[in-house]
Amino acid sequence: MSYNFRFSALLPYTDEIVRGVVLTLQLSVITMSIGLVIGLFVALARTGSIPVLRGAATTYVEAIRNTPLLVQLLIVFFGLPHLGIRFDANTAAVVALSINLGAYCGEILRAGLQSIRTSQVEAGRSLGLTAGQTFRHVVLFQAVKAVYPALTSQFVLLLLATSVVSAIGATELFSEASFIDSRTYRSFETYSLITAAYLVLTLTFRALFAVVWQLVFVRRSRSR
Amino acid sequence: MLKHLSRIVSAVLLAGAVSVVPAMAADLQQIIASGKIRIGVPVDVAPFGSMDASNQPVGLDVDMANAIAKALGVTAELTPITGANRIPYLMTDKLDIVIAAMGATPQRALQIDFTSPYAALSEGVFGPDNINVSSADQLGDYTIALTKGTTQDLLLTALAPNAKIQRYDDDASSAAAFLSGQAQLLATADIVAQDIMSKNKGAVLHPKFIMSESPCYIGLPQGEPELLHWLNTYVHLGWHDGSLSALSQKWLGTNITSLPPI
Repeated sequence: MSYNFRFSALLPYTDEIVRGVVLTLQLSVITMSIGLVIGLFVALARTGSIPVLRGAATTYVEAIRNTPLLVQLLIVFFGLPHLGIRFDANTAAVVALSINLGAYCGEILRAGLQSIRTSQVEAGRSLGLTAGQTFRHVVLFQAVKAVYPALTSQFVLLLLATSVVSAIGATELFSEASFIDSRTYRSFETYSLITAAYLVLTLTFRALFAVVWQLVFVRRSRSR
Repeated sequence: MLKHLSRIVSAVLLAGAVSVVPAMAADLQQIIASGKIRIGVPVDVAPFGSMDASNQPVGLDVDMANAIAKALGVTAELTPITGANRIPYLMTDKLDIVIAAMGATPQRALQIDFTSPYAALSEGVFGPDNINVSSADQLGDYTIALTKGTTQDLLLTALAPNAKIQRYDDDASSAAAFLSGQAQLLATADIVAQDIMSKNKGAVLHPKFIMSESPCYIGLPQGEPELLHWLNTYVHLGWHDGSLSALSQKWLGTNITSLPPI
């Protein structure tokens, strides 16, 4: 068995690949930001004492974590327009991915929040910190630090999951690859190339997350 | 003597006429003499042929078969056929003709004869009446859903490289994009457009412009020149009097006014 690789066949499609990489990056970064915010509120609601919010957050988390992302995506893009809520493909992708990521982040952050003992809060308050300061500097900081590896893994998984949004015609990296494949019929070359592209993207993100870990958690902890 | 000779000549001519004429027109004469024509029609290629609620074949090809039988003054004996067995049925004399959305190829033409085309499967851009587009350069800001890598994709990309094309992975997703309003137009085959309309009340997919046509031909066994010629005449007249375009309009929603004859 031998296969003649002809990567030159992909050269005319450089623009498409670059566009795809850029959009995948944009989708990932925007979704990570929104997902983190959703996750924080969900975690607070689930660990809080208001029954309505706790119920709502639990329903949301269970509904999202127990259904396929692809189905959620198709409902947002093809289903919601029938109710008068219309997003274009890329916006629908951000909406669906954020809703999905929010549920997972919520669970990760909840675990973090629950790992902080009540005595820590009491210690913070007795040292004269306000409730907000105690939450930010004592609870949240340590909670995020505790779950940071799980959180960043979830972000990397999200970056890879953006590849499914080609199902609704969003033009991210995978979608551009299957477009190029449909024109050149060089599947092996095309998908090898974007495998490398995804690998570079995820490794870059992992490196960035490691830098953030050093700057935010290691150095600040040491300086204390 | 001269009288004798002329009698002999006329007798010979008469004998020749009697023996030759039926032999040449056996195919057509036999059909007329038997009072029926055996026609193969599809039942799995809507809207060309499918089974209705009472299990009777209906469709463009079925209408065409019945119209041909009526024009011949015989009854139509319809046999359901599939894409795979339509040529064998003709070659083993189980059918007189096949009307089954059949395309012609040089290989098929070595085995059976084809008449001039009577209809065509067309691929084009479809959409509701309020969108005023009749060619690729009028697409402007309208969004068009289509399935990635299909002939429609290749044709439309070539015709309108700057059009707002949304590419989906399969026909169902493209249709969903149109039906949910994510795209205003749909590039597809006319029979798919008909199918979507028949299953979704309120969906309007009328042809805006046609990008390619795949003609359909009537098939018949080789060596039946009279039948072939009669069918070609029938098809020719059908384009002339508008009955064939009416048939396309009725079943396919596309307005084909004529196709180049064979």
